[in-house]
Amino acid sequence: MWKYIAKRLAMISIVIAGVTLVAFSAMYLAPGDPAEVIALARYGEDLSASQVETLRVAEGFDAPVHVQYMIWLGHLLQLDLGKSLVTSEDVLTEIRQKLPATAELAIASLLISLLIALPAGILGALRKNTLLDKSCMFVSLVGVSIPNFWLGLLLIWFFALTLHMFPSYGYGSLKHIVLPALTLGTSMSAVTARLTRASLLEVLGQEYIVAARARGFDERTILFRHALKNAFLPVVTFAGMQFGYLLGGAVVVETIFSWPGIGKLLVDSIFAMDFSMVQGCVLFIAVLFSLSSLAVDILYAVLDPRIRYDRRD
Amino acid sequence: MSSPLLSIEDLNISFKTSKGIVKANQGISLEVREEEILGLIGETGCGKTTLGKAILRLLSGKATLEGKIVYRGTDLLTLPEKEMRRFRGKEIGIMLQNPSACLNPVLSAGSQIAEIYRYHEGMGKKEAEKKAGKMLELVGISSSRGCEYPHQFSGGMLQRVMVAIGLALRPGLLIADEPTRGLDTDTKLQISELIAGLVRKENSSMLLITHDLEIAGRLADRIAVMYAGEIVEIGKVAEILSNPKHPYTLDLLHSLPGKGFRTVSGQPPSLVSPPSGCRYHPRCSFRLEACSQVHPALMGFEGERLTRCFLSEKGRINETAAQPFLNAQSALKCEEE
Ligand SMILES: Nc1ncnc2c1ncn2[C@@H]1O[C@H](COP(=O)(O)OP(=O)(O)OP(=O)(O)O)[C@@H](O)[C@H]1O
Ligand SMILES: [Mg+2]
Repeated sequence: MWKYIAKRLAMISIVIAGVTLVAFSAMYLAPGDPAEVIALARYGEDLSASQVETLRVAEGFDAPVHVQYMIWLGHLLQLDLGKSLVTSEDVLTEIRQKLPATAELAIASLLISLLIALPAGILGALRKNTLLDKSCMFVSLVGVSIPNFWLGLLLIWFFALTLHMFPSYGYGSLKHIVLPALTLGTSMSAVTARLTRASLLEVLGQEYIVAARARGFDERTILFRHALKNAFLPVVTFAGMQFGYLLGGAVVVETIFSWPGIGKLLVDSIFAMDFSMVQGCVLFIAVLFSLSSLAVDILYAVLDPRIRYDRRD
Repeated sequence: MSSPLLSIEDLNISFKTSKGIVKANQGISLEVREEEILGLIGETGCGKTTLGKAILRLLSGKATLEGKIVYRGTDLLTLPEKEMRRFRGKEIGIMLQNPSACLNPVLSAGSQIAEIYRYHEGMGKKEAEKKAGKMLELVGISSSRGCEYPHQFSGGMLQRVMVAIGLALRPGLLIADEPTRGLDTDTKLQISELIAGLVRKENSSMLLITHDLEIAGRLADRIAVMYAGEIVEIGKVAEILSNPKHPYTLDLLHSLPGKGFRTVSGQPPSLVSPPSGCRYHPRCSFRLEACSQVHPALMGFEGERLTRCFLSEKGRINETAAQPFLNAQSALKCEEE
């Protein structure tokens, strides 16, 4: 088990090292000279060439690229992501302030999606090919095909503008989270429900289910003790990855609902050409995603003894 | 003669598949008596597992069953599902083929035995685990390995776990489906002696399904030979081995290791459209004119022997007994007994 976790950690470190490179080069992949772009953002249209040069030296843009990268990495190791080029706020502080909103939305969405998907998927598998199953799967097919921004707008139109039940944007109360969480949760639940159904159906066709029946157990015991634990293995992976993805900020939904999370911060920073903030966000999202995939791997190992214990030869 | 514990009467089983209707069992009539081990042998795909599973009604919904399966006076095929559950495990235990597929990969071996006691006997967790440990010891596994998972056991050990599960509730009948398949010779012998020993000790009966004539010969009291979904011969072990009446049984005997190892020639027949007349006629070296047209019935003659072959009616007994290898076989069998 520990060997397994160590292996995963090693892999994650490699991934994150790669991400630092990508995040850093983002600044150079964007069109234009970074010093000029930043100066433009800071001083407005009527800037002089000397202003740009001063900024270039001050921000260290005059050094060779690899030196800049090493310096940047050095700061990074001290958890210093630099300052926002636009507001001069500390990047990490800014991100930390946005994290709770994103985390709340991620948790609420995950809960909603599981609350819908698990019963629907399980019922679908148990009542395979009945009207109930077919309608569940049809709804989820629709759910899979509707893009998030469209569903979000529909929900706003119906629940906010027509029924006035929930606010259409903003952050603060429980009511605010309903629509964005519903948007994310329902669209996630569509895939999760299909996955749960398919996975449970596969498990129910396994010989160990017949063998359990041969021991005289009723269908309930077979479902809860023998089938679900196996059927949930892929579901856990999928839901976990989705959660990790949401923790990185649901860019589209946060933007539609003006949800002050990391996704919206990222989008705003991109529009403001706030390179250091973009770098910080990208890096932060990547780390969160890696850690949550580690958490999923560990959870998987807890559920599946074949991974927990190395095969003894 | 002891009374039957299980009697199967004119059982037909078919599966609907995309390739047509597979007639997996046809007109099966058999009985398993009290304290008897009945060996069921036949080549792969002839319908042995289908019969074993049908007894506990474990076949999937695609299967159609007709006939009677009577266990201690109850026709299992007419029971509602809920009643049927009382027979599974408790009255009739089954060790399904291929233990690594039959054990739940995410539950420990011990807990898969313990849950039987918790479910059927309402035991608490501790007590059930203790009893499961005892059961493991009984089949030759240290109870400390109860917490291990199926993938941590070797094939022979898994088969032992299956024995423990099959016999957990001391059923009157154990159905063991290929309990020695895929094991090396030593393990094969150990496992088969273990199962037979436990069954005999409990005065239970066993339906031993195998394609291994040697194992069946060693353990069983009687042997039923199945071919293409039909029983073609039933009789006492010694009689079957020393004096087979059906050409298929004879060919099976030839295929034993020390007996030439000559596999039965030709292809196993299709169960969707089986050969007309006698199912075995295309592969039979003794076939007569009638064999391809008329379907022979399972006929009784001398003692308890039943055979589905026209030749046996014409006194083929002498013909086969004249074959030298069979005399060697019977001599061998006599020595053992
Ligand atoms: N669920 C099913 N659906 C369709 N056909 C089936 C099903 N189960 C078994 N069959 C068919 O029935 C026939 C008998 O199969 P069965 O498993 O009983 O054979 P077997 O004698 O146990 O063989 P083996 O020695 O390989 O275990 C085969 O032709 C098989 O393809
Ligand atoms: Mg079989």
